[in-house]
Amino acid sequence: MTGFDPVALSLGVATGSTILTLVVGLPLARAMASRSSILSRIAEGLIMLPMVLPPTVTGYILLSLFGRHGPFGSALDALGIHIVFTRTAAVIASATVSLPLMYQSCKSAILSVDPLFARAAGTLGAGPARIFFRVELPLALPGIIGGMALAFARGFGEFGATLMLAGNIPGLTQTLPLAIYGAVESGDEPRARFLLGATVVIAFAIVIVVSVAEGRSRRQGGKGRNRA
Amino acid sequence: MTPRRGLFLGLLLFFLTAMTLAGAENRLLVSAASSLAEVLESLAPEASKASGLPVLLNTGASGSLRTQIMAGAPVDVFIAADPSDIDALAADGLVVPASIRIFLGNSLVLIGEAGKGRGAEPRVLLSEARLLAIGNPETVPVGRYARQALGSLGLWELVAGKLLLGGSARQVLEYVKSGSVPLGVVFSTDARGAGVDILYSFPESSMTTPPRYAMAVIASSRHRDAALRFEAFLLGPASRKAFSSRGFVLP
Repeated sequence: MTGFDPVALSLGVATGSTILTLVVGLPLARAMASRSSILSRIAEGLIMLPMVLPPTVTGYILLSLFGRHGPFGSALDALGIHIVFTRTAAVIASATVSLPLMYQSCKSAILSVDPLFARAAGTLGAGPARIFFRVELPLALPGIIGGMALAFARGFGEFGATLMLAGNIPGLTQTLPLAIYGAVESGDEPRARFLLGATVVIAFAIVIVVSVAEGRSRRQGGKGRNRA
Repeated sequence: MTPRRGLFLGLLLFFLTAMTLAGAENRLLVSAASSLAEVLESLAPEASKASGLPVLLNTGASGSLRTQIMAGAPVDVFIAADPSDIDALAADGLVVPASIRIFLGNSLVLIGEAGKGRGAEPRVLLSEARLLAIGNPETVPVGRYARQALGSLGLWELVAGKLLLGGSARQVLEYVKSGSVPLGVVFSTDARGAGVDILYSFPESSMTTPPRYAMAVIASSRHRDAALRFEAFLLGPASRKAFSSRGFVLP
């Protein structure tokens, strides 16, 4: 096992989890933005739950769902797919915990787009899909990128739920936070400091990249607005 | 679905499949108590050879590891810092009964900050100390042993009201090492080379059940033969030497 294993793993897991939260969170946010029924409120509560629950509890719930005896776990087991203690498990744990951040950011970004633009596009003959991809999405992009940044950051630092569902297996599922915890627990201070340094460098790089990307897309969004 | 979105989903699917395959099935997954992480990691290459499958370690608190196994985690061998965790699984038929081995032990010591040189009786040390750090007896095995030992030696009353409960043996060690707390109770394996002074060793007779590690092969393991060979390796001379050199007791 090399010292950089957990660093690469954490970057991969956070990337996978961000993609997963975007694919799940953006359509959910789009669907919920125009709904206010009791049922949709309940669904929204469920999406937001991992934000409130301690991550270990979220991890335990995921473990009960994806374990061999759980509803998802037993179904997947029949297909020969095992989730618990794999990197997929690390992605699922991170994604579950960061979904609320992605969902909320996307929803407020979509709600902040003036409905007038969508209606105008409609009168010019654009269908719902086209309106979403050509009008709403570009205008909501800065907020969505902000949501991706938050989801990535939360996924990168995920500990509790990951420990439960993916375990703490060096080289397989031991992400950066788990490796730091392990190094501290075993009194390996040089390793702990090395990993800590790597975390700070990466976190700082993420912050810079995000603020640059957000600034750029905000400027482009502004241009789009003028054209519309 | 637009082509770009389809590509996106395709990539995601590929990514998830690749990640699942990375957690391939042909390995021996050993869930072990955190205190064994270092020694087992050093034994892993030889253990892989002896068992015939690459050994992967999953370390954590014995209680959490037990919970994961009960939920159906694909573990092959479980090594717990407390035989009761194995017993609980055995009661549910989750381990192979014939594979249960109580094979390793630990001893309990009273520690103080390094270089403070206090050659006094534990009774005097404990009554003079402002605070005593132990693991939380409700959740940390070392804390439960500390409560037992202090109780049976009639020292529990002396420390009532000045206990600082740590979340792990490592935390207790850090409290003492940093000088935040004058005294602490940990396992001898924790105290070794950690920069603290060992002031007193609790006799095994002071605990109703002295600290013991137990291991068992999980009933649902798909590699039962390799798991049994792994157990045999841990009972063998090379492992015993590694364990005793790190301060573990061989019962």
